[in-house]
Amino acid sequence: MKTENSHLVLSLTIIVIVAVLSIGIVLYSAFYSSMTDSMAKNQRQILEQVNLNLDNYLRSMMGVSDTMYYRVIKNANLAETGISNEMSLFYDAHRDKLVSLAVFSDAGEVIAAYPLSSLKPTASVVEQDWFLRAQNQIENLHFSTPHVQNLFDNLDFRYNWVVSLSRKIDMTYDGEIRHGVLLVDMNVSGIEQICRRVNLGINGYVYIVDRSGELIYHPAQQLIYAGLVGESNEFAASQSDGSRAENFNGQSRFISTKTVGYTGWKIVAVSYMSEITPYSEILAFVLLLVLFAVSIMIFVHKFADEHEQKRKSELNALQSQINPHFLYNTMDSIVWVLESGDTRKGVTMITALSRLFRISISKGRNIITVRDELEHARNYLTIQDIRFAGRFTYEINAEPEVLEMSTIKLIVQPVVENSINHGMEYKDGDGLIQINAYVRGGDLFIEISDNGLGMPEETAKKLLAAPSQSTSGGSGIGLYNIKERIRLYFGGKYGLSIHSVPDEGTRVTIHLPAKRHGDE
Amino acid sequence: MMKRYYYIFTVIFLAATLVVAAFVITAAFGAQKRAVYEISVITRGGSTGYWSMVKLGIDSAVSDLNVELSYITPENENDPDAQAEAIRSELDNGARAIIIAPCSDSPVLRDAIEKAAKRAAVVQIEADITEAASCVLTDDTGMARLLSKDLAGSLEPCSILVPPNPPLSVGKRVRSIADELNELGIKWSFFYLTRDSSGSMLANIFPPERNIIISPDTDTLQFAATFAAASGSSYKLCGIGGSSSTAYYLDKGVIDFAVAESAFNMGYVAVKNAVDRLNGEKPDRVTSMDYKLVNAANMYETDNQRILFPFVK
Repeated sequence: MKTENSHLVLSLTIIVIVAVLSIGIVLYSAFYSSMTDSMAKNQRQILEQVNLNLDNYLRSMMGVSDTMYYRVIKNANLAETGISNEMSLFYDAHRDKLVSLAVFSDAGEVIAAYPLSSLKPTASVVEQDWFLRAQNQIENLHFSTPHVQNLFDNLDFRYNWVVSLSRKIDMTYDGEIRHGVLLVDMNVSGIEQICRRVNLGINGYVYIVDRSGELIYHPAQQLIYAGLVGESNEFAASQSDGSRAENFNGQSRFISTKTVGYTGWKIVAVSYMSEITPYSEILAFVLLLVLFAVSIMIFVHKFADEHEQKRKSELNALQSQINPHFLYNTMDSIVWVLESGDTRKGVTMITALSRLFRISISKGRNIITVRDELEHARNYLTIQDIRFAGRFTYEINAEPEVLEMSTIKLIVQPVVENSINHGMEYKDGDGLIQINAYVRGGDLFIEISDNGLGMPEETAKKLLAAPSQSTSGGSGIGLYNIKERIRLYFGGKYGLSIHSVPDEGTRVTIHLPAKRHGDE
Repeated sequence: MMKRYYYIFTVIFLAATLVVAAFVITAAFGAQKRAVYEISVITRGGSTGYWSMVKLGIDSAVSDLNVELSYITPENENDPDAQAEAIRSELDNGARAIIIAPCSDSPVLRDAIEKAAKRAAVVQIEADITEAASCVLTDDTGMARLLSKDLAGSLEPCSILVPPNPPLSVGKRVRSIADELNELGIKWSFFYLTRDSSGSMLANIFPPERNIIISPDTDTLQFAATFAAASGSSYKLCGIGGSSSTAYYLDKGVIDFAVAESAFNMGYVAVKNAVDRLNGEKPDRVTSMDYKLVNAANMYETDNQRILFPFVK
């Protein structure tokens, strides 16, 4: 049954859930922000390290080119001596990083090359991109994108992916300066080893792109070339250095980029958000919040329910107390009636008293039919009618349909008791107490009215106020208690009201839900 | 009474906390420990250059995707019964995923694959013999068509080499090439290669009267190119292939042109497909690999070199 406590529980529950969820959201946001910052910091550190290693690697390759050019080629008269020996020494010193070294004339002819020196008949050196770039920008060293080394004949079916480092050179032939191009083919595996060492979680990785977004290295390079895997390499190449979140192919990722000094390449670190904040952990966190909220709800509900039950028990216990004065007076009246020889009245009073007790007990139930409740009041009135020796009369009227409806027991009799004690005292046979039970607007009303002294409005209000302010009279049980019992059982909509006019009478209306007994 | 409810509350909350803590710890340890995928690869048997490229792709994926792999190579090459038996055996041994190159579309093998697909993730490579399992392949008919188109207008008769005991996909290519040549009005004939006692293909029975030799697969193409280079013959050699030897002989001018397929990609994607399925994902049932018509002049163009020379780590 809906009671005021239900509202209390609901309110508390909502407050608890909102509070817990708010705390959860704040905590999670803080956690997420912290993890993101940590990831950005981690990526920056990794990029710094990769950049350092890559820079060392590229500088060593540039060093090979510089040394080869300035110490060997510049000092040699190529008309008299070759440079193949020096070239082989350089190659052997860096063979783990190099695929080949070669010097070409402006016309694309091989001047010297190591370890392979036989140019393929189909190879057109002057059309190679690295050759053209060296020719067009003579002051620079040029790094190509990865390509298959396709210049020299090899006999073992081996084709190497290389990054070519080329530069324009001047060669001396008996004092005559001729131009050419020095080519250093770097093994891509050297770059791969630098990038593969990093730890960016299970699926995270580092890749490198050139200025135009062309891949220099990517752990899934072959699959990207085959169009089987996508990458945001062109977008990454267009971004300035820093960290950012992105959504790529439906996956949230965290990206950091750093530009490599000389080449203009960009190193890109990729981490997956699902690894920073795994869905399982988010789920667990939400579950924890929900469980916490549910625990609090259960606690509050149980506590409120217990509190409500306790109040009901207290009020019921109070209500079921029989005024000892009433009992004493009734017994005394029965003795007098019997002594006067009016056994019929004596029997009537004893019978009524017996029934009064039986309904009071009602096998421990608190909800009884209106029929029993009215019967209880009738028994009480029967006794009091005999005791007060015809000072008042009474009428009990009930619409037939209300008789089988439910009511809390012992709520009519205390009102009747008040009417008799405070309204009928000075009556002399013209007192009237009426009890009417009816249904209006879907609700049950039990109305107890008398033509007694009535009371001022303030007094009526006090009767319904909290116990400390109320005046408990008659049977010793205040109307306030009846009102509270009704509200506890049926909710705040229901209760009890008093309409009284001094010298005219009082009407107490009990408002209950119209429910058939046994349906609730 | 309050004490009692504090007790109830504490018990409920502690229980809830323990459950969640257990969940979080499990999730955390699960996240830290990368899953290992056990996959069995059932080959067609024999050791060929083509398969070594497929294996290269498979091994590359094994490294990238944390796969524990078992290679099952039947004793006899292209034996469907042996492949079917290998499937059953691997399943009984607890394999969670199987990659198989079906050597034929025999009912026995098809039935074994269909039954296996109900218990494990099954990926077919090279040939698609049942819709019950996913498949990673290169379009045999498409490659045959592309190859034959380059012969359009040729008045010289062609020989289509047929390797001994050809697997399903190669047989399909042979038939498709023949069909295409018929449509182009080019005269052709099959030339059946045989093996010697050691299993090597016999070179001394090459078709002397034909000028154009068409090879339907990587291994036959390599064999034909090796023979042609050694004999110094003036055959016009073309075919379907995808290995470094194909590139080498293209470079040398021994092979006039070829349709390059990426066996490496096929191997890699097959493993990835199996792993995706083990992870509960549903990749497309059929994944088709790219192929290109290459010759000595264009083989180093960016797109062509990417298919001819896998970027192997």
